[in-house]
Amino acid sequence: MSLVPRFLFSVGLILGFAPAWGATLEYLTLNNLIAKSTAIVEGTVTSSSASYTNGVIYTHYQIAVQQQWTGSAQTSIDVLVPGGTVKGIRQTFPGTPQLIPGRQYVLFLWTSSKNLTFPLGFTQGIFNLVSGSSGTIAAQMPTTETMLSQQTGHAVNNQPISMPLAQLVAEIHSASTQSGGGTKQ
Amino acid sequence: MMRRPGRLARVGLLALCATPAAAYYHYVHYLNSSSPYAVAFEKFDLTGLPNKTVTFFVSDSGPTSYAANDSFPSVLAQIRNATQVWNAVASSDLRVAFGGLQAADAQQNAPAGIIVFDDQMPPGVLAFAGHAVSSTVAAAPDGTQFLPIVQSMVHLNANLAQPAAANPEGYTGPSYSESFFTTLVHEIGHALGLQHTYTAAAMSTAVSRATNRARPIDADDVAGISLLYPRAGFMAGFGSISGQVTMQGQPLHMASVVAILPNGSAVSSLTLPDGTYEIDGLPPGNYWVYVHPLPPTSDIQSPVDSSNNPILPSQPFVSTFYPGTWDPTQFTSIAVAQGAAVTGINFAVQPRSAVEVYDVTSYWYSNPASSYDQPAFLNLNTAVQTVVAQGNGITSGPDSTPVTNVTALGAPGGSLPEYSQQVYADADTSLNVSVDLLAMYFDYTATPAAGPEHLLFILPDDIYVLPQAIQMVQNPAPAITGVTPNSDGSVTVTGAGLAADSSVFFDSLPGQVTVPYAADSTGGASGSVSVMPPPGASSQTATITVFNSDGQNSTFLQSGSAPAFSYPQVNAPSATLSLAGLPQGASAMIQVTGSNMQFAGGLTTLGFGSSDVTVPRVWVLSPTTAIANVIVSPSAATGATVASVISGFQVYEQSPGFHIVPAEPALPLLNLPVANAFSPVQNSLYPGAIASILGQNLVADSGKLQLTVSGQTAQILYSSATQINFVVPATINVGPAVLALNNGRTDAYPVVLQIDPQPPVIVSVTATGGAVLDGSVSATPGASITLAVTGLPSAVASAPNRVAITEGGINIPAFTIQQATDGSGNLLISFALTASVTGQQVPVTISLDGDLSMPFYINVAATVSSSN
Repeated sequence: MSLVPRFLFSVGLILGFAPAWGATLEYLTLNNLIAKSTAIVEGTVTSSSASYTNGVIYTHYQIAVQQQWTGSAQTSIDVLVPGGTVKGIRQTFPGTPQLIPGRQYVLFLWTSSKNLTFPLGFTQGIFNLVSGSSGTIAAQMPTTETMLSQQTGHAVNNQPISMPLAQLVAEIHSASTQSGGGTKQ
Repeated sequence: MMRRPGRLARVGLLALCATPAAAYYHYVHYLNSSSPYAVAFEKFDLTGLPNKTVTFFVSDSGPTSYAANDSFPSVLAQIRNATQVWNAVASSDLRVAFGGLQAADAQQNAPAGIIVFDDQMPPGVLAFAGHAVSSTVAAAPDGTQFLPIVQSMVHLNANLAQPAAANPEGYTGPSYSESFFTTLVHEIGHALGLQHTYTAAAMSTAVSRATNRARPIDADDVAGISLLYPRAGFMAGFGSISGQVTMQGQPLHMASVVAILPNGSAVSSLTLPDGTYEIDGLPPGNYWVYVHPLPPTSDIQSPVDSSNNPILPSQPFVSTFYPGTWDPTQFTSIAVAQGAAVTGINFAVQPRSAVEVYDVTSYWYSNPASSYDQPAFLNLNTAVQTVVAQGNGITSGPDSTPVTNVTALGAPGGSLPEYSQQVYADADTSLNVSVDLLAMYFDYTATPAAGPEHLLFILPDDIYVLPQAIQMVQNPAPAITGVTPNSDGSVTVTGAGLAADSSVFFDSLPGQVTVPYAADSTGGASGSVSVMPPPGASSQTATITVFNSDGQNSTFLQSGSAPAFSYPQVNAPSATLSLAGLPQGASAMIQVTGSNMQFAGGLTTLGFGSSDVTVPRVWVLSPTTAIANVIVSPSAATGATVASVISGFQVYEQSPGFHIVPAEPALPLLNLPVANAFSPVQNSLYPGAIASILGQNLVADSGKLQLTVSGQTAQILYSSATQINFVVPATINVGPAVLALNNGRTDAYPVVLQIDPQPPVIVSVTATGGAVLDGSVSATPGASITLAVTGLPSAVASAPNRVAITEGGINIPAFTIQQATDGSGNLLISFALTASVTGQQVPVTISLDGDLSMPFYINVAATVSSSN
């Protein structure tokens, strides 16, 4: 008699477990990132500062935009990430990303109803640009904490996206075209 | 010569008030750059908290949307439940309170926690939590250094409805789900200063967590919070294990070392930069110890140096058990005694290129139609059962091969006879994510013990331990078959798998049992229990869930069809307070009168929307009247605050509802609580007890000083401007009593005293064999003794958790209670003296619900050395 239970064929139905809230992230595919962002840009962090917004310290990263593929055209963007230091008080939120001044990124951004702009899915919306030995530039999403599938609650195996920048741009163009959105250069 | 296991270990006694110096999973700062490391934790400054209490408030804006049958009152009740979990840790000196609602612009000076439902979160983020710390290193009264937390924050997505129909037990809501509760406990743990662990405790990551409503925190959580905020004597009540972890002769930083009971809990710690570690807070027992690397997804903030630069973990390594083995038959069992330190448990591990196996979780298929649950519950009366494990690298990976063996650690344990690897596509097809699963078939050759079992996954080049992967249970999960409202307002719940320990919850609150559980007349597994629902909101539909003490609940079998109870439609609740405000530094009784509210004991909260105002206790006098002691900090921010009165699911908010005004220089100020002058550890006042009031301006004209308790004049034994000692009137009734003071010129604000019954008395002590231990007869170290005690109700024989025994000020964890057979009415309490206490006189006390007996002193003989 086979001991393989039939439930293995319905494992994704419903799960009832809780998230790892330090920051709890919902897994976003590249298509999700493209579809849910209000702007996708390539830019360099020119400066950072921190200030309180609604009782939370946010680090504001000023991004000088080199390329923009979706969203309203901007030359500079103020991107917020929870956490930072103001007047000797340091707020930390485990799981939130840090950007490095002078470094270049591809950013999938989302602007809220109060006109605050965040990286989509925090770490998930930030791709490092890394020069390869062959001269190509790769876009890499950094390793993140355990993420959850929105629909099932499953922990999703850690699969950070890494691909040549040209391929990432092509994917953005392709997805934007399919969704009827325009792209900007 | 007999060779003892674990000879490398050296055992010593801990100093009674030793200061922990280990790096648990806290937020750590190294204040120097070489061994021995000076460690400073990020934590609340107890001296800056009113009554050592951090209060958590909920932003009064609330969530924007809810799952079916969910509501803001249910959310609030669940948050209150979660704060009470941490507040109940007796070995921690930090108290945690729920303060009701708070306005977004609240002005306050005392550190606090705030829970915000955030409508500005970007997609892909469900929650984030953390705290704010001062950059200035502070020193505690015991000399330890720390960085003070000035505020803690938990931001939850304001949309509690997602992901709606796809997952009714979803991970953001509903608030009455067990997962929402355990997640709140986890989040508040972060807010108090704890990071992630890998022990299946509340602070473990979600995929490895095994806590539930019945056991919301575990030994690891108790150790973590108690190390951060140790109550006096904490270290002496537990044991410790320490050692060093090295790799190729070099010390490893941030290696996770875990002490685990074969059929119980685990407690862990991280290594310092010199590779040393110390696991404190271990309940007595025989432990295995293993070391594992942190996974890449750990989301643990690395310690920082004195320049705030992070000191990252050392490179990955191969996990191993002490003494360097993967074979369970070779694990060394390390005996940990109360107050004892085991040292020299060292590891030399092997490097590997990356952590390959991590984020492993175990599932159990509880309902063929609907649900899986984590962790797995297996019924020990069922022959072959299946558990599924999922995780990175467990079945395959770029640098590893699949699991070659799985062993259930713990009696009877052993290798599993059969398991198979399955690869299954996640149902969320839009993600196109593959999920690797390992199906395991449990076919025990002998009946296993009830309780947790751990799984050891063995791969060709590594091992992985999943603590508490399985919960062995004796009874089936509860299932509700009927809910019948009764004319007296109670509700009878009928079902299978219910038991005397079943709790019936209405959304996030339990009903009060009116008719205890009884099996039905057929003698089958069905039965019923009647409960009075908690006070409900108008027209509220509450989901009913039954929780059993073994961790199982009725959603295991009925996640998609949980029964509900409908509350009647009533007018909006409101309340009035007897005082509209208080000056800075004042303590006072406030009476609350409700309208369209039903106050219920243990379910009523009075809040003032400011961390500068604390409410240590609420007494419910009737369904519409409650009284409370309210304390305003001397450094409180003046101004208007939100007042909130919450009973069950009935919520009344008034803004502004309370005013903090500047201090009045001549006002008599009473510090609360009013203490028993007999002993600082005696928690209660009783008729005839001597009590002590501390404060300011207590006496202005000693000839006219007046002090009454419940209207009876109290005999004053001593008085000064800062202290009054008095006798609680001997004829006073048990219960809340109003203390009124006039210092000869000015009335103080009245406050409430809780008057308890007379404490128990230890009348005699006998050793095994019947020898009476008086001043002339000594006990042998470790001897079993029996206390004859008066003043204890016989009912405590079946409710021993109401009783606490201390030996030398340290709680005795294991004891038995039985009725004396000599007709005296005494209760006999038996326990074993601590074996390490020798050649001294040791005080033993009994307490009932915190009412402490006078100590009985037992002479313990010195150990006589023997040679062989």
